[in-house]
Amino acid sequence: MGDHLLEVNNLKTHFRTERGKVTAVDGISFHVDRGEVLAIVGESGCGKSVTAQSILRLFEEKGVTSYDGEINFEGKNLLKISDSEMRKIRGNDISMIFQDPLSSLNPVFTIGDQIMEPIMLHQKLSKKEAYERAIEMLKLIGIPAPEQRVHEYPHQISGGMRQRVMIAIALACQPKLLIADEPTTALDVTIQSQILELIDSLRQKLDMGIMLITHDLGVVAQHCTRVAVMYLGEVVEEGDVESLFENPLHPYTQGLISSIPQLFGNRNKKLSIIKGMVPSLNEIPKGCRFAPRCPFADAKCMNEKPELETLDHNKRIKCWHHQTIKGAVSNAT
Amino acid sequence: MQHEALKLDSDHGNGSYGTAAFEARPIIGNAREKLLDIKGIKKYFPVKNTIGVTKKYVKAVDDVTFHLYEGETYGLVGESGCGKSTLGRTILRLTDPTDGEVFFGGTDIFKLSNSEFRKQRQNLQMVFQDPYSSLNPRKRIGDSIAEPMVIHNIGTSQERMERVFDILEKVGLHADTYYRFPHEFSGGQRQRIGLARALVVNPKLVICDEPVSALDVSIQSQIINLLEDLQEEFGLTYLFVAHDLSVVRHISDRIGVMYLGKMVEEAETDELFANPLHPYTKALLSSIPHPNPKIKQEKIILKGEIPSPINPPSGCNFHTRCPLATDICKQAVPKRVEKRPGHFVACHLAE
Repeated sequence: MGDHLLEVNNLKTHFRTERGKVTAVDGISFHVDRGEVLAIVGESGCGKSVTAQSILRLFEEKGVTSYDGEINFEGKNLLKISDSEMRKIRGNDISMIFQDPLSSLNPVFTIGDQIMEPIMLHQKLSKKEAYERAIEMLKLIGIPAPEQRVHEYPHQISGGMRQRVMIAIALACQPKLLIADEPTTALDVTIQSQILELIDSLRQKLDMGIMLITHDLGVVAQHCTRVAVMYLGEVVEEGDVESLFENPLHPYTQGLISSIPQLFGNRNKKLSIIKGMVPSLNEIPKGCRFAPRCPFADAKCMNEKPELETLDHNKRIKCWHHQTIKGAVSNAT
Repeated sequence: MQHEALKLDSDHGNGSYGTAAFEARPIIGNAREKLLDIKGIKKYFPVKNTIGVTKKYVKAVDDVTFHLYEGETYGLVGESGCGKSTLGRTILRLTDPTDGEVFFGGTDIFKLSNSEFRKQRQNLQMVFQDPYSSLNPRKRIGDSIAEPMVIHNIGTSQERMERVFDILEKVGLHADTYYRFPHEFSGGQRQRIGLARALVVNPKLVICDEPVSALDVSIQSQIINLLEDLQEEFGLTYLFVAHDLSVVRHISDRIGVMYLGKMVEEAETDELFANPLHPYTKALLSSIPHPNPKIKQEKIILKGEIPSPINPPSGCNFHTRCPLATDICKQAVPKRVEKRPGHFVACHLAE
């Protein structure tokens, strides 16, 4: 306890909507250490982006959002500190890369201005020093001719470059924790591999902790150390990458892994599917949330909520039947 | 089902189109029949300067030649902006071709008048990436699906309705879908609706433009399986445009790889993955993250990004990013050569 860079305990994020209170993230716990990459995996609507944005307290409208639980960052509970303290952490100690770089860059400021802003704000450097730092950052992320690029506007550069600029802004203050929300989803594979290599090398250089949100299991397998799988606002399974891919315990994880088309081996066999679809947050099943789609579900699953159990090797699982299911489906990898 | 569909087909005023176009045309030296033969297709978009004079062109599709066999799935891959979607749209004349020939059942469909071609559209259908923006939000699903039959004057309204219920069942949707509106459905369901609308006129070829890219993995696999089942049942031919190589590998019999408006390599799926010859294909295949943490990949990281198609590089247009480029690559445009049976590549250095 207390020695993790980030520790999230029983976090709940509620939104008030027209149809009543919706709990998008419902009691999740996990931690991120320095130098490691934690992947948060799940389908759209599972609450992975809400989790990320809750850590930075980006939902601040009073009366609409409310949080429960704890988010401990270097021993400080981020949910308890004042707004001005939070502002000092945001973009400085913890920064975030968003999925869509065009809508998160300001179109009326140059790239240079946008990289310099957090540096001047948090590190209290002069404009000239910040300018030099901005050029240094652009060099670091592999943008050619940074002295020219620094004066350009977001619309003048390509999608891959914009995403790199986002990374430069996020890393300008050398954060301790980087939250990357689908950083490469909008990019092509050859550009994606450039960006992921870049994030990887910067992580080693700066000893950052990274929380990588993605739905691409290939990216998880190649670039992450630990994985938390989310379904409908809950973490259903957590473990290190190798054991999770080799021996997925939760039926949802098993379904996800076996439903991706393979790059090697027999390509003519039918893809296995997870039947049905993710229910809406207004209609959360009573028992286990995955039960209506689960091939192993029985009466107990339908009626009683399973708890997140901790097993050997820091593996955690939320399923009534993980011991009997184990190995039942193992066509992973 | 098949029977029912054929009956509807002959009810159609110009029913002969459906069959006459498909009389066996044996191709010498190849047992399989070509459904679509695409030769030197080009699509240039004019770029106008401030006074409206066209001086430059975006060469979105530049001299692409390939063919589709009946009943196969042909995967078209490449990065965004390489022209793969434009190629699909140009084949269907959704945008006017600049040059080239597309033979469908012996006729060059680029030479047909608009009204003649409209009759052929029944055989050539399309499924779009975003099914929401391609469905009319104010029309009931049943009416949207029946519309192609109305346009092609197929059946009575009673028959059309029965046919829609039939096809809804085939794509795995409830009958009450007929009376509902597009906003009531999830992405996966909308994609099923898009498929139903394409299949309702009993087409020969369906061009699928990124049909699963917007879907979550668990839904994606449902749609892929559905596409395969429907192909088997109706003997469909697919031109499957996508950027996700693992999906394309799973579904395609043959694959064409595009880069900057040109087709750089084409081969049967297993051959392409086992033996990629073009340096771009090699880089593309090596950069897909492998979903097995134990396999550590040797990635070929390409330098830079796709150049602008307004000013494509001279010679081989990949030479600016190619790790192997030599002087000849900067000067001469490589020709499409068959290096192995059925394996075509356009590269000076390919062995």
